[in-house]
Amino acid sequence: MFKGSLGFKAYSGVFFVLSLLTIVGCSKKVVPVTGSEGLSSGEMAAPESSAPSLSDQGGGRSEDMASSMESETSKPDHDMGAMGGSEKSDMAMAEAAAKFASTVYFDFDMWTIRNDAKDALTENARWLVENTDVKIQIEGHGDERGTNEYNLALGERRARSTMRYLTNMGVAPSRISFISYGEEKSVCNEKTEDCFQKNRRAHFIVKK
Amino acid sequence: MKKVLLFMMILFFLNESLVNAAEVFMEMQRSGFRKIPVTILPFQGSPEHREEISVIENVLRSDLKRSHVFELIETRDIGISGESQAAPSGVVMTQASKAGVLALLWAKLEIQENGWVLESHAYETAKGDQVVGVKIFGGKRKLRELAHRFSDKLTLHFTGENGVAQSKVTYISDLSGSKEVYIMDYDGENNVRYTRDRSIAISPKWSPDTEKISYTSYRSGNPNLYVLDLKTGVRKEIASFPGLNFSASWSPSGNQLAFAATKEGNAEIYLVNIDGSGLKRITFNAADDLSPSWSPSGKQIAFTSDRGGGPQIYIMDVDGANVHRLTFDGTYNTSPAWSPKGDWIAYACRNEERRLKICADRADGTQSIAITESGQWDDESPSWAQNGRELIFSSNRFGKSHIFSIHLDGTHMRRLTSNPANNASPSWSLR
Repeated sequence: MFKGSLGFKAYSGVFFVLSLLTIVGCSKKVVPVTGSEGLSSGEMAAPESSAPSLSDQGGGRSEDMASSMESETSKPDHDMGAMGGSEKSDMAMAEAAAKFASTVYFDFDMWTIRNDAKDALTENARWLVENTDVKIQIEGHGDERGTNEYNLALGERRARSTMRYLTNMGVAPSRISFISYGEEKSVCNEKTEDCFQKNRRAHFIVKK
Repeated sequence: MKKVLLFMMILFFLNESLVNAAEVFMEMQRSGFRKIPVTILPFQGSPEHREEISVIENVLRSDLKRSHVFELIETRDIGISGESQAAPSGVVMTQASKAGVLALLWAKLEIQENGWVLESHAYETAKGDQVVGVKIFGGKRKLRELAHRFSDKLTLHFTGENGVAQSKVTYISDLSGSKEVYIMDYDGENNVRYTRDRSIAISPKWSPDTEKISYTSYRSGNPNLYVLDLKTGVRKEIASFPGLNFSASWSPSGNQLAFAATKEGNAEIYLVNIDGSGLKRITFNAADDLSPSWSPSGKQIAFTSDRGGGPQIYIMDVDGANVHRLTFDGTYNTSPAWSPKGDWIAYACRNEERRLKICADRADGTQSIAITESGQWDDESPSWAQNGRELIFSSNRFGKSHIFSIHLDGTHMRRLTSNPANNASPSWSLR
């Protein structure tokens, strides 16, 4: 194709012996180390919300991040049943589980909220305003097309625009957290348009 | 005759210095270089090591075929006995020389208390001189490594360039049920899992010295950036800002990482020292800026940005100044990988069917090529060999995602992973 144009840089090389070969088998020694970077809670500012916020402004951001581990180790879609708590909040949680079972779907490469999602989101926002002890996390996802890294950014935009829709309806930003999984957590693995659509989604995890 | 002359030129320059040999090699490349014809003579060794000898011969054969430097001519094609034998005699040399073979490769395998010893030789047939003679020592389970080291010796002697046969690939596989970081040899053998996070690991990248791997993991819940020190086994958290901490790239010095984080509301590129200190933001834009890739000079960074609408490849100075756009074809070009030789930037480019293939542009923007063919699949995550002539990438063209290698000119594609899982995001070590 472009033979002869490949420039081989001349240099005298050193013959390397991979030190790597001596450490195969060390994988069991991997231990976590305390992070050197950290931020105070609430630093991840909520997106611009023009609507007035309700109560419950007290940070809670980092707590949400920590508790999102649960969605790693269990099925994220229906993990509300594991939550304990008072009867009243149990009822709220059960109601929330039903409310937030619906998923928001997106167009290819897009992160704007489609008309077909607006009714359910408005209903969700109304419910959240009335039930102030429930917090939610929004997961943003993409289909397998596109690169993994760009899809992570796209997934976060989907989660953020879903969050913005709720905060614009009056839900306190501090009650909503979000996380992007890009194309890392597909719910459908076939190479069909139908399947791609199922994966281009934002969905809700209900927290206490 | 022409071949013999060429070879003698190489030898002449080899005697001078390796740099000169490389210059000859470079000149030959420009003028339509013909690969160096070599023959592997049956290796010598105890009859009880027949199997091991066969492994080494086959690995060497495979390395040389892949190198793009050597052409393998089998013994049967030049009328030389395929039986195990001692070092080649003058008669064999002459016979090979007449058949156009420029070098004979031969080795003797012995076992000692601590492992294998491969006494490795290369002889040029025209004069009968030994040009490579080295004893390679390896542990009892390192048979393949012996052959890789012999191969790299040969590449170094005949081209002046380091070979890549001992290089490693780190990648993500979901073989265990969750996406973990693995390492394998450059030919797909000896794959070993290096993390047990039972979470989602993303974008592992080799440090330039092949002693560390950076990667993003959801192990704490949030996608944070870590550096895994392979010598000590210690994993250090480098960035844990709320939101994404991802798509890291090592500086050529190995002292810094460039990565993207979304803590300000959209993806921006930051530099950070590998101890987690000295965080510095270098992009300031309402669009997403991500997937940085350092130039080998250390002075520039290629990255993905959708500031112009769809994602395209841009280049900036390492301090964020002098941003300019590199790619203009198509609406979606992402995940740049700057060649270790500096000349090309490979990336994933999208076709009209919304599928990805691997493309490359000259870093100065003067030429743009497609390396892989388009299809109903995604080729993505290109990563370069140290020699800047071969790349690896992941593709789901056969259903699950697997890792492939290919030459820059689009030839010699081969699949490296063969397990039943998904294998993706390969990063090729520079040693």
